[in-house]
Amino acid sequence: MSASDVAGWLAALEASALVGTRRRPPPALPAIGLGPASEADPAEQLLDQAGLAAALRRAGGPASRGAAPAAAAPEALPEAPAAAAQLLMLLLDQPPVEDAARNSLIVAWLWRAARSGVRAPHATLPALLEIARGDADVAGILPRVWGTRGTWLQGHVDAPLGAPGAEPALDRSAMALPERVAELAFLRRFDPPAGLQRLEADWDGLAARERAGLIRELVAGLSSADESFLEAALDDKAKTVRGAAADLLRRLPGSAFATRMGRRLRGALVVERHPGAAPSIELREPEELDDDAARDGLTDAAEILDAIVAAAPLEVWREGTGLPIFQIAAVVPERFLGPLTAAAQAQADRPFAEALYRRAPDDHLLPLLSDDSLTEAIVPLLNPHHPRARTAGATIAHAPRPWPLRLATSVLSTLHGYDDPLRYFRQQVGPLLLEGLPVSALGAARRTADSTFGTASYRRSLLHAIQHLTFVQSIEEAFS
Amino acid sequence: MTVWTRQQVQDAAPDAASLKAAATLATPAPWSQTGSTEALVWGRCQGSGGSPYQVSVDLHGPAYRCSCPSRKTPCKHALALLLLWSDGSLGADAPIPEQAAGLTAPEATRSAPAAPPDPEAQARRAQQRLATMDAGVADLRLWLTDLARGGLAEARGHGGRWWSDQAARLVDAQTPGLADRVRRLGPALEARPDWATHLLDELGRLWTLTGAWLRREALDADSRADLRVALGWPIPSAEVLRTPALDGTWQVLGAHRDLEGDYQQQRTWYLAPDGAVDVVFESGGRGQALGVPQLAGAVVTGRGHRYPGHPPRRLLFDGTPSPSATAPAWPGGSIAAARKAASDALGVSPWRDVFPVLLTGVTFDAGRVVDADGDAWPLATGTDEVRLLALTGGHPCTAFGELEAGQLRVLTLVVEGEVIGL
Repeated sequence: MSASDVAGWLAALEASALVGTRRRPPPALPAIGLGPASEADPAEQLLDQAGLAAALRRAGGPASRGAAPAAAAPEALPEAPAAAAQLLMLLLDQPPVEDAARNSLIVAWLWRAARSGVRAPHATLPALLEIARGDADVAGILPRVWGTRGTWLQGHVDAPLGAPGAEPALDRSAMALPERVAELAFLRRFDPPAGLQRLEADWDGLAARERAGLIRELVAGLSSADESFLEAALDDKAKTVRGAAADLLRRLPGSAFATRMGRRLRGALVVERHPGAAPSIELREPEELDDDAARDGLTDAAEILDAIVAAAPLEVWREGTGLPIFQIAAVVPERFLGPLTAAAQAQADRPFAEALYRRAPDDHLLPLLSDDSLTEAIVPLLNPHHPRARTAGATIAHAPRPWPLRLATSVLSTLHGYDDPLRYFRQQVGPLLLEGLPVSALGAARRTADSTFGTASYRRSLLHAIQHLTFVQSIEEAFS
Repeated sequence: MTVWTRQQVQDAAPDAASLKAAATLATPAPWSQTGSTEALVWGRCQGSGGSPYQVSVDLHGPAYRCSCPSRKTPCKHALALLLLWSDGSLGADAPIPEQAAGLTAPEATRSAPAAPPDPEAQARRAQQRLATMDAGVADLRLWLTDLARGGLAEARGHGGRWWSDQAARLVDAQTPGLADRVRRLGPALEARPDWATHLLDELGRLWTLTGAWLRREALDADSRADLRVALGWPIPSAEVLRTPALDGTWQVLGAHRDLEGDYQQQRTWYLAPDGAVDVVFESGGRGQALGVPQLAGAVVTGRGHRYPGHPPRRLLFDGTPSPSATAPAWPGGSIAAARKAASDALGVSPWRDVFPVLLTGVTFDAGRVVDADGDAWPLATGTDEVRLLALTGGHPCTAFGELEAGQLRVLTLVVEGEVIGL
């Protein structure tokens, strides 16, 4: 008797069973050497056969065949210490902190592991991959600590990390803009050249609105490798696209665009030296514009100088005036402070940012300041008698987190007061504590929590921050 | 931070009842992955649920976290963890429980009854029960033939009540094992794409089982015992304890908990001193606590008694087994050999659902377990395959699991000497 006889019998048996023996009698049993009598009631015959079929299906039938997959290569990194591994599992299975804070602790754990040159335990990889799919910060650091097992596992899961860019969708023309933006943002975060390549491939088929929306995403991972694409986009039909390209090019002080702007700035700069007094700087409107000016966006006569200042390399100021930075910032005409601040931001130039902040404290410059300058900039505002005390909370919101220790302890002692002398301060600063307090401020935070009155929501924020820092400290301990 | 004194832990308890409950949990047995730093104490406590409760205590604060549903803060798990920490028994892995609660059936731990039972009354009660069961079985067989005449498609059209009503009749007939099989049919019809094949198989198995029951007088004692258990008439543990004892070391191969429905089950598989694989079976209603699960790879010394029946046999420990320092061994084989063993067991008891399988040199790929010969079994529905892959990396490993309806449910992996319970 062959396997096909059995398969045919099983199919016929199921067909009878489906409609019932009243409509279709059970099939004849194949000759397999055992089996129930066939003269019984058809329903009983069917059930007899069903019992036999069930036993056959479980015990017999050809075994399926398979081949072992190619195995993962041996690990080059050692596994994280046991205590650290347990903390990670705790975070993954039942985080001892608010859900929102969990991922940031996972990120902290992963960075700490990367710093120690160890890898995440194999058992944690599925959960980490799952979280990384929805959290770019986790996705960003995970590949550094997932070891060879993680790389290998990527090839065996349904949706590997980076899936949005892994395989182009079959019909890319049908993709909506938000979908494209998400895809490009993801790629730029983890593989900027691949992101540029994808955008270039799609570019000609995109509408102006899509081109403008997408080109802005190149800001992530922006480098000189993107310059030629951006330079070409200055010739785009749409003004929004040209503007977005120019905005990105001014972040690349070495680009041809920035060099052209620098040449124009050099031509406009006039320094007058006054014996015994500070020099002065003037900017003269160019008498006639060069051929590229319109292409570089210099079309509005009233704003030409502002656009040049905002886009020219800051180096040109140093070379062109021969003055030290603090002096440039001190004497530059007031109307150019805004564009110059924009240039310092775009070029992430700390010396200019610090000098400009001393001249005119613009909160947008805070992320560029050194720890000491940042502390000196903000601590005085915490005095209730300072003229800008009312806006201290809003200013702190612009400061990069975590804060330098001295700033953090000053914030905590301000919070310590009974009567919220700065009004709204607690309300504004409470939600920032979680990210703002550095681990080194843990002791001060605990003392503040022990002795502070205040609204329930503020206290909750402080306690969450302490809980968070405690865990961060535990991670630190577990790795050391 | 200095370790808390016992008094400090007691002061943290919300009430005396919590402290009392915590004291019973403050043994290393249910705990795994415990640890502490200056600021944090943590661990996993196996409760009655499927996955262990994750407990952590932030000592400054202090703040207590536990994934258990208790509304008390701190809950008994957090208190128990602190008690362990306070005693200095934290951090050391404790794979071998001191209190093997749940291993011993309640009847076995009770002291002997004051007066011997009246044998005549006992026989009379047994006869009554057999008559009730026989009537229930006959009624079920009628129901099955009616179903076969009307067809599976028609049966599928009946609502859930139709199946649960029949199950209820089987409970009345003192055959809860049959009732359970029938009760599971209704929901499976909705959930499974292969519902017709599944239903036909299950009806066939019920038919075989009940047919065998009616012919039980012609069968051997082990087969009769198998039938009795399959119908749901448990054999009293006092009776089991009168069977020959087997002394030696027993190794936990793996455990499975099935908490779905109103009926919870826990199977813990042991490698017996004589090389056989036995199972400690526990069950209870919803919310009832099952015994503390044993960790895979643990080895205990004890005296075991086997229930009558064919292998794999149910096991009962006489007293509490004690931890042993013996290293676990994993004498696994190929899929072909395991298939042969399962087929042989099925030949004797075709209604058997689950077979223990210990395999060596297997890998996982595309929803299957594959051995060195290239033989494969599909993995049970719901298997977290990514986890298996992450743990093994595609390298051959030893796996213990349960074979059920042609699919393997992996319960334990041994990877580079490390035993991982899933």
